[in-house]
Amino acid sequence: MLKYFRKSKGFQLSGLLGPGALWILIFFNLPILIVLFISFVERGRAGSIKIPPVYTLDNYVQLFNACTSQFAGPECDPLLYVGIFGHSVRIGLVVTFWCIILGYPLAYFISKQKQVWRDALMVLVIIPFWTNFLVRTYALKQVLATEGLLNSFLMNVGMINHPLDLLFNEFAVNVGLIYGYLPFAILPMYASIEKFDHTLMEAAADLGASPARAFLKVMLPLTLPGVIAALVLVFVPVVGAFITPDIMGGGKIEMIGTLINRQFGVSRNWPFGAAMSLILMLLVLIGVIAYFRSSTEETRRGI
Amino acid sequence: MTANAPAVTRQQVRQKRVTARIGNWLLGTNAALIFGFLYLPVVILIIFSFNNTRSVARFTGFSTEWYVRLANNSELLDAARNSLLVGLTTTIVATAIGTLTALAMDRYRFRLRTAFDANLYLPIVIPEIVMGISLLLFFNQALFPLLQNVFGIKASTGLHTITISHIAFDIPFVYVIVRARLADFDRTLEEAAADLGADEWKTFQRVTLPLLMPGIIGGALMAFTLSLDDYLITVFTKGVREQTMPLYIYSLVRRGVTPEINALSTALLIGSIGLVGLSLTAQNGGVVYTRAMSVGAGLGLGLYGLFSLPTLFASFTIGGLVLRLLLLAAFVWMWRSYQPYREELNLTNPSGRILAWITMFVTVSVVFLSTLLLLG
Repeated sequence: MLKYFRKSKGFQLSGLLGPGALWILIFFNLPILIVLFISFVERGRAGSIKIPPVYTLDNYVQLFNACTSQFAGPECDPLLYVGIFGHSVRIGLVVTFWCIILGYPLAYFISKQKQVWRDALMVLVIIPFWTNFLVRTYALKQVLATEGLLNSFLMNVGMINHPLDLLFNEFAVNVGLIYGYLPFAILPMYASIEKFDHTLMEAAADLGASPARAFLKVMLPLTLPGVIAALVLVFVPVVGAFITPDIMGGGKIEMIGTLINRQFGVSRNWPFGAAMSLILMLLVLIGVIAYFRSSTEETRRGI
Repeated sequence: MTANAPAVTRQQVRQKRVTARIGNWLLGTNAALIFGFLYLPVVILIIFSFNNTRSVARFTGFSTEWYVRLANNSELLDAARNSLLVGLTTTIVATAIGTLTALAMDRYRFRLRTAFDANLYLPIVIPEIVMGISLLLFFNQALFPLLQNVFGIKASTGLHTITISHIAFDIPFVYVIVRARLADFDRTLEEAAADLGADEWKTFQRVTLPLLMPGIIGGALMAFTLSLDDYLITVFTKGVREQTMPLYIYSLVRRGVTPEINALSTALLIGSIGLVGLSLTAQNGGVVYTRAMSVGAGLGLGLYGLFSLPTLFASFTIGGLVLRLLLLAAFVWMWRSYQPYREELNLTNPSGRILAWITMFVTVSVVFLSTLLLLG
């Protein structure tokens, strides 16, 4: 009987799957459900929630109309939070745009090199992936700092008289994010371009197409899956970024990530932070699902 | 008209060649600029960690002062010890669970399998800050009140909650890496073992596990690196007192720019590049590299045992003796792979041999230094 039980598929499966399923369900799915729950209750005095819970939609309403907050002053801007969300999306789009514009030619350049060089250059693209993100952001910060290398270089050369304010503004955040996520864009685009048959460009030229036309009509459509993957892989983490806007923006640039963080810090409004987190998660999931719908498994495995 | 045609073509060809050359030049410049952008700040960071003044703009002379300061900074050493403790526990648990999950998902068909697979990818794609706050709310609003009210246990956040959370985000990464290894797995090898009379357990032990080992070790090292590097999830699940390396660095970075942070960053950079290098070598290389790692781990532990032997004589404790015996056992156990390692090494080409020795050297340093940090 016991032997039969041990051999049964259900027993083996639960033994293998059980620990992982339990851990993920308890420490990942359940916490997300709790965020969902807390986003629908009123906040308590100390910033956490009222006990017993009072159900409300106010946290979501407040997102779209900041003036419904009990702390809103007389000259409040109802679209304050919508504006910050929009601002994050705009930063996300700008950063994604630059990552693709800079990354695509680089990926193309690498794909045209000899095998040895190609491998070496790809290692250079991959290394930043695995170096501590915080350390990389700090490295950029010290170059851009007021007394940093770039400013003192420009002043020594005589191009400027006063140090430029290169830190703690939107420019710094954008540069920091491009610096952080450029490798995420190069990798999938390289995977696509490497598979592209370059003789097709010669064929297009032979048939009378100008280089620009051949690129737009032949190469770009055929490497588009890589570009779309790059778009998703950069846009998704950038919209929810926290470390870069916090360090490079110095608390002056508000993005969704820093806004959520504040609800759990100084603002002590956990239910509102929970509501914002859910909206952010939905934004990201829509992007990821769209990507999975538009790509096949084969193109994804190349990444 | 027909006589002119070839001339026009020649001109066109020349023009095309010029355009192509300009295009190539532009592409090359773009590549150089991007690699400069990606690497110069890091190179500058490393250079100025050796500066002998506090400036991070003018290099005034070489010194290792900042590294000496790091080695004597007790707050930092505590943070590093905590990071290692959390990282090691996380790695062991997440690797075991992630591997089992990958095996289950690869070999069994059951209801909701696709949904669960997608669910396993979710922690990788959702923003880290969302996962961080969800765990914060889970611990403080659900788990701790539950423990308090139902079981009367007073719980609070600390290294244990950080570890639990790190395991939760590391399982998916181990899962993905081991699953990729399983996708290339030749099931007929298992059938062959069964035909030769091995039972299920023996087949798993002698065939499946060794073949999966590169994926498992790769996944484990990846999990370790991710845990060591994580800031955002850690900051939401930490306790009041204990901090980890990234938390400590973050608090310094927010305050400003100093060569001390440069030195610390350089150390961390070298550590994580070493670990990831090992991970990638394990995943993509042959069995000779995983053997090099186990020999290296044994050597590292043995070296530490020798290094710390004088302290045992200076102040004898039972715990100290047991520790040395455990180290010795680990050393002997790992050292058993030395002979097969030599045999494998003879079969590899010269460049592979160099890589194998580098792999071993890196493993020895990583194991020795982390044991030293952890046990003092």
